[in-house]
Parts: sequence; structure tokens; C-alpha cells
Amino acid sequence: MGSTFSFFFVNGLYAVIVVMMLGHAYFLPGKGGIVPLVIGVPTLLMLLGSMLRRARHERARAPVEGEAAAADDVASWGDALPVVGWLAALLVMVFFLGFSVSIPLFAFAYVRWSGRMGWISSIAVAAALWATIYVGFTVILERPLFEGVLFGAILPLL
Amino acid sequence: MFGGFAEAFLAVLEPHALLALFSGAVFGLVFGAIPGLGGILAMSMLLPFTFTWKPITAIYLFCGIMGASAFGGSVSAILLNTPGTPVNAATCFDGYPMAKRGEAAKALGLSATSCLLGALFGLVILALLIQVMRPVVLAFGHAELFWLVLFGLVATATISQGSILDGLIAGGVGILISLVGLNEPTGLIRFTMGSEYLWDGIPLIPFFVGLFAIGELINYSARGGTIAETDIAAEMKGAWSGVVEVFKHPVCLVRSSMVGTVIGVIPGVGGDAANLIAYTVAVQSSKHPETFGEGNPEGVIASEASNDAKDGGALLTTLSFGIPGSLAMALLLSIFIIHGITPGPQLILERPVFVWTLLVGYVLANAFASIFGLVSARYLAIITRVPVHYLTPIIVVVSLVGTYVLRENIWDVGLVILLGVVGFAIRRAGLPILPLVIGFVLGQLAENSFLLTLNIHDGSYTGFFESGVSWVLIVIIVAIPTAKLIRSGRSNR
Repeated sequence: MGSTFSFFFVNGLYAVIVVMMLGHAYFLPGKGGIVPLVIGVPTLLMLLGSMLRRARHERARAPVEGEAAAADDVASWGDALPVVGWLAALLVMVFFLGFSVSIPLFAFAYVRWSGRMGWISSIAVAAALWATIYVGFTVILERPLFEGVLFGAILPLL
Repeated sequence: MFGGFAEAFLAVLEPHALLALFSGAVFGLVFGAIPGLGGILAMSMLLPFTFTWKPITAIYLFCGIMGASAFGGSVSAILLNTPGTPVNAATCFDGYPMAKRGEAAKALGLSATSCLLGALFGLVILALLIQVMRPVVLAFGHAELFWLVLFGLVATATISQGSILDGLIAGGVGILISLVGLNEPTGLIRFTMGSEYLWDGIPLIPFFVGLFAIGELINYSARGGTIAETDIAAEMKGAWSGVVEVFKHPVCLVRSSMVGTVIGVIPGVGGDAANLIAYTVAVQSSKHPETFGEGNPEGVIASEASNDAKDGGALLTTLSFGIPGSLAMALLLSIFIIHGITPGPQLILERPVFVWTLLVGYVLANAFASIFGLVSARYLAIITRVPVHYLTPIIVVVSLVGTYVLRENIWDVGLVILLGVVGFAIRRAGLPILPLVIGFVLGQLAENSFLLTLNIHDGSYTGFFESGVSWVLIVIIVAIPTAKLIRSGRSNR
């Protein structure tokens, strides 16, 4: 069977989404709530049924008929969380510092410390990636990149 | 109708036409391969540059972009599990597993050949059937479109990994999240939790990039190593084997091209649905449906052949009825108008050479892209042997920047990462993604069709059961999961 924690995490998330939407749909005027209710109520019932079935089988330590196993090539949460952490850090960097600063910083740090590659490889990847993004998006496509709260909003005021 | 074909073919072979087609194909390939960009962005960006061109030269350029962008999107779908454009989503399901076992070049060969043959097929079928296409198009009203969407959902829920229950749950959730934002038939803004960001709904590109690209990126970054899990020197079979493989599955190729053509002809269904529906039909029709999602060549053939066949269908509907069936067609229509070409029912009768020029140009652009793909497949496949620690920052940055520039909204970037975590969790749980994606892509169409049918029939539900096409679809919708349950029951005994 797929990871139990992941199963309940995903289905729990689905259940929260469905319940919130059902709650809103019930009070929508006119025909605005018909389809969400028609789809949402059976979906919620199926979700509850699926989670109950899985919980019962977990207690009996038996596989659930028809359920797929997580593929052998799916990493564990323990291995994945550091990667998620890197992505979260990139998001925060981009928000505050913008793409132009975050891209080389992130690329260098990731290749150097997560990838455990050498200094020269790390600098080369960071520089090449930054140059490609700058030339491709800013020069050729003329699309502005997000400057970040610090450089786009705070510093101009000072 | 055939009267202008020879003239159009000769016109396309002129040097300025070939140059415009080739340039467009290159743009289409590059833009299509980068998630978040796509052929539509390329067309809109280049439009101002073509104001002073001859109209036909501008049209060649845009045909080139349209013809090549789908194949460009399949390159990243196969190598990185990142659909470059939404129309390549289904290519990930079998193309990427092929890449993981060292058959990336073969998968690219499959895609290149299927794209070209699908485009050719769409062209031939439309030329033969143009006289009867009108009743086919008119047979699909709102009720029939609603049942068609339900068919897609139930079929994918039945064949996707996990139980039918998990598939139906995913499909239901997909439909529900597609309903966030403005509902056009009622004018209501729903489920936004007071956030202006969600007024336009959950955007399509961040949804795909997050769920597919970032979700898979978290997985292979956590595992380390390389994307290809086998020794490429020993296992890589080359693009040519992909070309040969397509001809071993003629039924799948022809069927998927037909599905793509029909989907493309029907206004309002939209191009994003064609590859998913064709993939679903291929799985349902297969004697070994359990092999799909594991690197079955028919999965790639179905997705890519339908992608290019649908554009031929959409082109003809757009030109002959004046109704664009998708965003790309709407943009193309505006390009026509800017260059003084008036689309509509009379266009085919009064300017058959122009119509043939478009179709032939589109097929030639596909040919350029496919040949380029075949020649470079072996080298592109090397990407699957690059250590993921080098690939991860490149893919993350290009995906996030590509997503950002689409709407210049930084919250799209946050959404991509959030959906990436969810996508990884779905994989880890062994739950299906395909029904979720189909529900999301087709949910609004389903609701709009449902509500419009009710409006047309003054609130009566009988409108859903009036036509023969509706009943055929209803029977299929009931039969598919029933058949699977019966088969499962027999095998358990």
C-alpha cells in the first residue's frame, strides 16, 4: 500500500477542500451552488468511506484491495523534506530579494551544499543559470523579473 | 475544396515561406519546451513585429509556432516529467517512465513521429470529411459536452492507478477546484476565501508545473542520482527505434488522431482536453491497460498524435465557422483580422488556397520540428544522465521564472511550490493524479455545459437525456466501471 501518512495527508486535504466548498456552496444564490453540491456531496462521502476503509485495514494490517502501492522509486518524506526546505527558502528569497539575486544564490548554495559539488562547479552553474535567465527573459523576451520586496518597494522609499 | 491544394503547396515551398515556417518552428520548439511559456506566448510576443509583413508570411510564422510548440512541450514532458504546455500533460504518464529506463531518445522519436503523422492525419481526414463535419459539430450540444466530460472522468478513474474509488475522489476534487473563481453563466465569484488572487480561478500553468514538475523534482532530488535509472550506453535505443515503433501501433495512431481531430473540431472543448481524452481512450481500448503509466509507447503515441490532429480540426472549424475552439485559435483569428483576412463561413469557398496554405504550412512546421527532434533526440536524452544536483536548480528556476512571467504575479510562484509538495504527497500515497488533472481541466466546461443545458430547457433535467449521442455516452459511462468491477470480482475468485 502507499504510505499511510501520505494517504491520510492527501485525503485529509481533499476533505478539507471539499467541506469548505460545500459550506460555501450551500449559501450561494440561484444555480451557483448546484454543481458544487452535486459533485461535492458524493465526493465527501467517498472520501470518508475510503479513509474509514484504510483505517480498518491498517488496524488489521492487511492490504486494501485494489489500492496501489507507492512506487518503489518514490522517496521517503525524510529524504524529501530537505528538498522542500530548499524550495521554501528559495520562495522566501525571491519574495524579499527578487529573482535576479535569488537565482545565483540558490543555485550556488544548492549545488555546493546539497549536491556536495566543488566550489568551481557551483559557481559555474550559478553564473550560467543567472546569465541564461537574464538574457532569455529580460533581454530577449523583455519580460521584467520580480524585483523583490526589498529592492522593489523598501529601498526605493529610503 | 481540393481546388487550391496544389497551388498552396507550391506557395509554401517558396524561400520566404520556408524561412518564416522554419523560424516559427524554432520559436515554437523553444517556447513549447519551457514550462510556463508555450506557443501562445510566442505568438503574442511576435505579433507586433509582423504588422509590416505580408499577411501570408506572418501566417506562415504563426503556423510554424503552432506546429512546433506541441512537440517542444513533449520534450520536457518526456525528459523531465514537466509538460512544457498543458496539451502535453498525458505525455508525461508514459514518456517519463520511458526516459527513466534509458529510452528517452526512443520516446522522443515516438513523439516526433506521432506529432507529424497526427498532423498529417488531421489534414487528410478533414479534407475528406469537411462536407460531413458540420452535422458532427452540431450534434455536440451542451448536454453532450457534459456527458463527454463525465465519460473522460469516469474512464480515467477506472483505469488509473489505485482503486476506482480513489480515482473518482480525485476526479471530483479536480472538478471542485476548477470551480474556484468567476463562474460565467451565473456571474458569481465563488470559493475565493476573500482573496483577489483566486478571482480568475486557480491558474492552469502553475497547476501543471507544480503538480508535475516540482512534485517529481522533489522526488528525484530526494533520491539523488540521475533521472535515467539504467545504464544509458546499454539501454538507449535511439530515436529511430521510436519512429519504427509508431508504425507497430497503427490502430492506436489512427484512433488517437481521430479523437484529436473530433475534439479539435468541436468548439469549446479546448485543446487541453484532447491529449487526456485520447490517452483515456487508448487505455480503455488496450488489452493490457495495466501497462499504461509504466512506459507504454502507446501512451506517448495517443497523446502526441491527438495533440497535432486537434490543431488541424480546430483550424478548420475556426476558419469555416468563425468560432475559435481554443485560446490559440482565438489568437490566430485576431492575427487574421489584423492582417485583413476575414474569417467565417465564406472563407473556405472564396479563398480555398489560403485555407490550404494554412494547413500545409502547419504540417510542414510539424515536419521541421519532428526532424529536429529526431536528429537531436540522442543528445537531448543526455539530460536524463546529468546528476540531479545540477538539474534541480535549473529546472526549479526555469519553471518558476517561466510561471511568473505569464501573469507577473509572484503568488503564482508560491502556488507552484505548494502544489509541488501536494504532488509529491500524492505520489508517495500511491493515489492517482490523472483523474485529478482531467477533473481540473474539464471541470468548468462540465459545469458551464450543465448550467447552459438547464437554462435552455427552462430548468428541466430532461435536456440531458434527449439525444442519441447523450444516451451512447451514458451507457459507456456506466459500462466502463461496471466491467472493471466484474473483472475484478472474477479474478478475486
